[in-house]
Amino acid sequence: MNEMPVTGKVVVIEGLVKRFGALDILSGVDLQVSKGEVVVIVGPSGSGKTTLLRCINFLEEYQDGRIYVDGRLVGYREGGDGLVRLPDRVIAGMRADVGMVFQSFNLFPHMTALENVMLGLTRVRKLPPAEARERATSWLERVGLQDKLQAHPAQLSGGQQQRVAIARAVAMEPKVMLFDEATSALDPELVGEVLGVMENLARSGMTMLVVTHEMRFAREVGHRIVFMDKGAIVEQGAPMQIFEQPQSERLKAFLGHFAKTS
Amino acid sequence: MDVVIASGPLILRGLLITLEVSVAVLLLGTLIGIAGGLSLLYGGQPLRLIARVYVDTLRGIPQLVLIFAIFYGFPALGLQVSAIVAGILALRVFCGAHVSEVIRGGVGSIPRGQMDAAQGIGLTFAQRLRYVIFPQALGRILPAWVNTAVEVVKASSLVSLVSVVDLMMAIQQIVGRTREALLFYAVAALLYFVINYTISVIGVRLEKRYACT
Repeated sequence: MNEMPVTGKVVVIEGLVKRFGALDILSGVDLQVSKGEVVVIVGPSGSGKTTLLRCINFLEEYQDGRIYVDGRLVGYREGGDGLVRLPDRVIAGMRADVGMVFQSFNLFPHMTALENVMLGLTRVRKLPPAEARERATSWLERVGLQDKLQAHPAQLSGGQQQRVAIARAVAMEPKVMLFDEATSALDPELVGEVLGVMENLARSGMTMLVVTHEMRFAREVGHRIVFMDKGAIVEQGAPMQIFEQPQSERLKAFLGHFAKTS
Repeated sequence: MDVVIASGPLILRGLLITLEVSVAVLLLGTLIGIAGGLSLLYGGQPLRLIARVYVDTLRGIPQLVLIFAIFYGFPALGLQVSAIVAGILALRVFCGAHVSEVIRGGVGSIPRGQMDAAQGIGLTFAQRLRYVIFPQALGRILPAWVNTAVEVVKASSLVSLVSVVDLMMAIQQIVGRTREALLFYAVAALLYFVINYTISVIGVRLEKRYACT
C-alpha cells in the first residue's frame, strides 16, 4: 500500500489536506512532478505554497491525502483506519532524499561553510570524512564559493549564504529539491547569483519544486507553473499559457498586481 | 592559627562531604534538567504538562522543606533514607527543576529555522540536538547553569540541619568546642566562596569557548 503505482513521477500528491485547528491551510491539493521537471509555484502570500513544500519534506504533518516521494509514502504508513506516523528515524531517512532551501538560509552558524555541507554527508549518508570533504568541496566550487570553504556564515553575504545552503542540500543527492522563496530575503543585487545557481541546477536535470515571486525565473526556467490561492491549486500549465492566457479571474488579478508592482 | 590547624581534619572531612553532595546533586540534577527541559520543548502534551507541573511546583518550594519532607516523610511511607541520601535526593529534585528552565530557555532561544534545516538534511532527533542545537545553545545555557550550580553549593549547607556533617556542620561543631565563632564562620565563608568562585571562573572560560560566532 505504501508503494505508489505510477512510475516516472518523483513527487505525487493526492488530495492533500493540512489543517491548523479549524483553519484549512491546504484543502485538497493534487500535484505530480516528473523526473527532471521544474515546477514553479506562484500565488499570493497565505495561499499555502510554503506549507505545501514543508509537507513534502514532512516538516509539517498533514491530516488527509497522500504524498509520495520516489514512490514512498511520506511520514506515515497506512494503518487499519487511516495514517500512522512513522518513527522519527524512518522519517529522517526520507527527508535525506528531499533537499530543501529556506527563505532565511538557516545555515548552522557555529560551523564553517564546508562543515555545513559535510554534516549530512558524514552523519546521514555515513561517508568517510575524506570523501565527504571532497564531495562538499566540489559542490561549494560548483556554486562559486571555492575560496569560502572555511568561512563562517556570519562572514558571508546573504547570496553566498544561500549558495552554501543550496550546496548543503544538493550534496545529499536528493531525489527532488524544494526552494521556499529562496531569494525573498536577499538584497536585490544578490538575487541574480542565487537564481543563476538554481538555473544551472535545473539545466543539469534536477527535479525541482520552486516557490518564488521571481516571475522572470518562473517564465524562463520553469517547465510548468502552478498557481495556488487559498490552499488549493487554481490553475496550472506551461509558462506561456499561464502568463499569456490566464483563465481564472484570480490568476488574472494576481498577475495584474504583479505587473503593477514590478 | 593553632586552633584552625587543629581543626583542619574535621573541616577537611566536612568540605569533602559538601563537595560530594554538591557534585552528586549537580550531575543527576543536570540530567533531570535536560530531560525536563527537552520535555517542556518537544514533549507531547501529557509529558509537557507533567514537566511543567514538576518545574513550577518544585521551584516554589524552599529547599529545606524538600529535605525535611524526604528525611522525615519517607520513613512514614516505609522508606528508610539516611540523612545524606535524603539531602541529596531533595536537592537533586530542586536542581532538576531549575536546570529544566535553564535548558528550556537556552534551547528555546535557538531560531526555529535551525531545527528545520537540521531536519531537512535528514538528521535524527538526537543528531539534531547534538550537532546543531546544543552547540549553539551551550553559550546561552552556561551562565544560567553556573548560577544554579552556585545555588546548589550554597543550598548543600542545609543538609547540616538533618545532622549530616558537611562543611557547615563541621564548622558548627568546632565553634561549639572552641567558642571562636567569628574566626570559624569566616573560614566557612571563605571555603564556600572559593568553591563557588572556582565554578564561576570555569563557567566563564567554557562560555567563551562556546560563545556563538
